[in-house]
Amino acid sequence: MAKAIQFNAGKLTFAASLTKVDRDKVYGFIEVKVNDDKGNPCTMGSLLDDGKTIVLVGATANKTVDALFNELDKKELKVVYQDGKDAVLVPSSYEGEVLLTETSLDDLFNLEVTSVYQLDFEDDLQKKSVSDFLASGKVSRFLFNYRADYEGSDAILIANANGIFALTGRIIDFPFLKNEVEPISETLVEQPIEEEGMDFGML
Amino acid sequence: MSRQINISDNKGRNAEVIFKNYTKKPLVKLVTPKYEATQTVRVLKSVAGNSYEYLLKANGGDEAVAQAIISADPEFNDLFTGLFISETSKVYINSDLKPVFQIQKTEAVYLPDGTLKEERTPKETIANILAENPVKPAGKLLPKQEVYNKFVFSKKYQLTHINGLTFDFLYEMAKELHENDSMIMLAGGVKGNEPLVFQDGGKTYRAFLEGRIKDNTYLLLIHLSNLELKGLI
Repeated sequence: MAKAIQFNAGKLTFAASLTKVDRDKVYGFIEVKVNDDKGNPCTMGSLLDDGKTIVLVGATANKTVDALFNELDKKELKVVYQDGKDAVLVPSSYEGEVLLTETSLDDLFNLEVTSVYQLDFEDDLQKKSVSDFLASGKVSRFLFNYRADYEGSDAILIANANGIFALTGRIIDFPFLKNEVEPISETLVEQPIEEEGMDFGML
Repeated sequence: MSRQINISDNKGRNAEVIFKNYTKKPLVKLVTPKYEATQTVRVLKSVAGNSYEYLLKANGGDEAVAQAIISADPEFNDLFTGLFISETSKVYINSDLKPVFQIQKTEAVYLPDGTLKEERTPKETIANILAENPVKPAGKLLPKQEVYNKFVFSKKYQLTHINGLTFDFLYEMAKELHENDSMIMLAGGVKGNEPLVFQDGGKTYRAFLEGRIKDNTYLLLIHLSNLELKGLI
């Protein structure tokens, strides 16, 4: 079994490892092959805004620069909170205990899920205890950090007949709307709406 | 940036409203050692004519490519290397690294164990969120207590009114869902039984509408899901 995380939900403590639930492993996957009109394979590239210069995949890099566009060495950069105060490292969830707190279904529905993990237990009795603990619509929240970093992910633990799962991502405080125009909260950023390449082969 | 959707309630009344996609601002940011602001830029390393693929074709082999790199720096382009770039367009290119204008797509469908199931021509999809036939509730109300652990609701769009009339329209939809503590599936198409397609050629999505109200305010979310909560172990 992979390295386990120690969870603490008050009276209930347990250890479980996490296995990522990949959509490809559940439903399979589709590979799109693109050929030219003579049947020769094509690859994806980018065209610069001059309309003629081709750039291949991997031929660009992201660089951090100062206000005068001088490149900055990543090792010298400081990490601060949005208010300018020095940020504190959040330890990895695999170091020490992870505290579970009971939360509402609203938090689950506000969670923009980026990853799904299934919990794997060595002890079946412990698995049953956790399953019982999460029965009847009960959900628990915790901060998940795969490795020590400055910002952990929001995570929610839920159970169903197939197992116990941790959904990780970001809980978004969606604004309740009044019958008037209001500025959006300072903690939210409106994103461009794009096709994500999700494929839905179920139901 | 918001987009429009033509949506109907379960009484058959429809309206064009907007939907938005929000994300949370990062908690942290990078600053210089003097706590000055920084920014991230996308920099061009090389163009196709400086790529290994091009050099291999032009020189005929790895040894010759290595010699060319030592003697003439063909991997470097003094016009483009280091250029800050922003918008680029996606293009398909052939083995000569030239754009291709006519393509044929095929899909290879693989099973979860990696075996090939079939090869087929991709189906063409047409956007149906702003069509003549509105997106409408499909099927019965789904109690939240029954669906919360069945699907992964990965993506969320918030429906937003554009005037007082659409405020009332969306508020009523949210109120009904809130009072029944339920969600409802949304579907498009003439018969109102097709998954949602947000743009021509885009993927199909199963969508669930969830509503909450608080005092005289409402929250109406479209949840998109592409995964049932199934175990692998």
